[in-house]
Amino acid sequence: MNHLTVQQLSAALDGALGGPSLELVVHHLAHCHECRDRQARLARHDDALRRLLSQDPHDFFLDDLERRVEALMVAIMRGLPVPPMVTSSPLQSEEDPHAPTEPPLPGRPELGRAGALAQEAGFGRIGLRPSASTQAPSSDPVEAQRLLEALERGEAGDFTELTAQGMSEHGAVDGPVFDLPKWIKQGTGPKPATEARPREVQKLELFFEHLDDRNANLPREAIQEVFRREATPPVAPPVLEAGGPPPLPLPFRALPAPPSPAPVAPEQPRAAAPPPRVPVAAPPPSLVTPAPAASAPEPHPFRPNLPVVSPSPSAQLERPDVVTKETPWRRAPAWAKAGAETSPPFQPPHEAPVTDAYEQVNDPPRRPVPRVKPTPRFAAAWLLATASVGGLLVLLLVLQFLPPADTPGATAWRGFRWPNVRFAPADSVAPLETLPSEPALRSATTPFPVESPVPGGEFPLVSTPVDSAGLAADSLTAATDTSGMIPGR
Amino acid sequence: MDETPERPWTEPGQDPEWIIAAQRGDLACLLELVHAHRLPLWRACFSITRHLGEAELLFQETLAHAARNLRAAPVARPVLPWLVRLARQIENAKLRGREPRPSVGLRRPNGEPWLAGARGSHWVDDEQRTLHAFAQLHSDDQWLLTMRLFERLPYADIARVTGIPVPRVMNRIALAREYIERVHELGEEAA
Repeated sequence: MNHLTVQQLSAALDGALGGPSLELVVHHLAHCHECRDRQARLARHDDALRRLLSQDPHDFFLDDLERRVEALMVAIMRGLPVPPMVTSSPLQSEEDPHAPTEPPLPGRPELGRAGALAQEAGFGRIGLRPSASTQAPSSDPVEAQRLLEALERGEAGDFTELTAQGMSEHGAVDGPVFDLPKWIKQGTGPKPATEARPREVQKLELFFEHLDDRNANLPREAIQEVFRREATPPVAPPVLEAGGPPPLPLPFRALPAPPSPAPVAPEQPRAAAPPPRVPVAAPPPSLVTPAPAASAPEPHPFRPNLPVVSPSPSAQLERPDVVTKETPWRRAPAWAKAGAETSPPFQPPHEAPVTDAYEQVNDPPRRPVPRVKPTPRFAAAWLLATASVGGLLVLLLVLQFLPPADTPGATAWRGFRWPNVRFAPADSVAPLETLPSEPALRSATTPFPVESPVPGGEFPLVSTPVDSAGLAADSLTAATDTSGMIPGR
Repeated sequence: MDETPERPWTEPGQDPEWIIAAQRGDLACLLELVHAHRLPLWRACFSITRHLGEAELLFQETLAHAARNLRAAPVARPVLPWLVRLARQIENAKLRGREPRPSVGLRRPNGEPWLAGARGSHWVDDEQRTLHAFAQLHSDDQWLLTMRLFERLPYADIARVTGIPVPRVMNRIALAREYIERVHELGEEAA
């Protein structure tokens, strides 16, 4: 039974057959399960390819891509510098092989646009590193200054726009709901300081802000120990009485006094009227203030119960398993500890430009990549091989001048001779020089040529055949001339 | 909805007007042209690269190259085949002299993970074998299958776009399917 060809099956899948060809294929498929199975397999592969490679993206994706292309084309048409090309997803060489294979979370339309953005960036997925930056965006210092001063004056009206709009309408949101503190809502904030002095923003250090990779492996007890010691108010050292028992050794050891860091803070003179909401075109230059004199830490103006970190070096303790806030290496970033330069700000790999300017990528011709790199090992191997071949040729050349092997005292390997091959033109009639087949002189040591062929062939033909008695036999002449065999044998 | 022509591969539609205006420096017409053909061009770039990020990059490179070489754009013919030809040339030029991309990536071509879910692991294996077999095909055969399977063009239109006779288009598509099936069977036997 002749089965259908793959051309017939493929054309039938595509609906390209008609007339007798279609009838033939349909009739055959109705009776041949093998061809039906094969056509089903072909169709299954087509469906798999359509699932994998035929993807119609969302309009948002295409709009964003078109905006990037538009920027490129506008720059090209107007002769401006071409912006670098950026992709919204990592390239194949930038993919993280350790990325989790967790399926995407279902949509949360109740979270609105912010929720969609967070989900798109990867927030909320277990074990997945968000594609967006986890650091808060840098705030406008002028705006922050204005808000802080408004907060000191007790004006909470400007903070209403910071609240999440419409969050109270959805009660099904799990997690902490952002809300303003009560004292902001009631407008009972602390009174502004009466004396005019440069306002100092208390530096608050939260522990988890410094939870970097070195601290991530701390045991839970160590973290609790840090919190317990920081929450404990500083107590005065006990006065030792003369003759009393020596104090118990502390499980910590004091650190050497670190160099006092020079804090760099922009000096913002306190103005009577709030600065304009819209920043001016030329921002005021930031001034470096000298290091403040060591003094007792001031409590937080709004939260006096917050723990105060003593800046004195003597209060800094270190234990191998406990990380304190004032440890110098914790203050210094990793690149400073390693003695390196400042690292650039973190940027997700897929947000980094994948190319430079377009003309810089495609314009310069590529140089051909050499297939074999001339490494020293390669050169040595090449030299050794060349020397071996050359040495072999020299050895064969020397053997040419040695006496042959049949010379008395010669060994078996001596006497190598090149093959006696002569090249002469086709019309040359000069006879080739032949070597003598037998030695000219025979002595007692000359071996008898036992295996030398009989001259004239195995069965010599004679002109006159003779019989067994040695007499001439004329009757046998004809038979001997035709067959060449000796009669009677 | 995209304002794509009814048959963007074979009928020029408004392409000649846009191209002529763009060649005279009309940027708006050029952007209209891009907007009209962005979806089929994206599908072509995606099937050529089989990767989401690479397809984005190829899409931008293709249109940037087209903007630089507007003088070479066809005026009386549809623009989409010319754009796709540029995309294929750029991709081949990028991969020339380098190691080919892995046929099966860490994730699906659309960026989703290779998860079978309730369908079983053999489902993922089948898809990966099919994708591997497709990646092993010659780029011309890949393009013929793409136009047939994804763009759903008939054989006659494929022949017009590619310049290959219809019987040869039929034969090459059939042989490409047979190759995919054969590679798939070998993968199943090896497993």
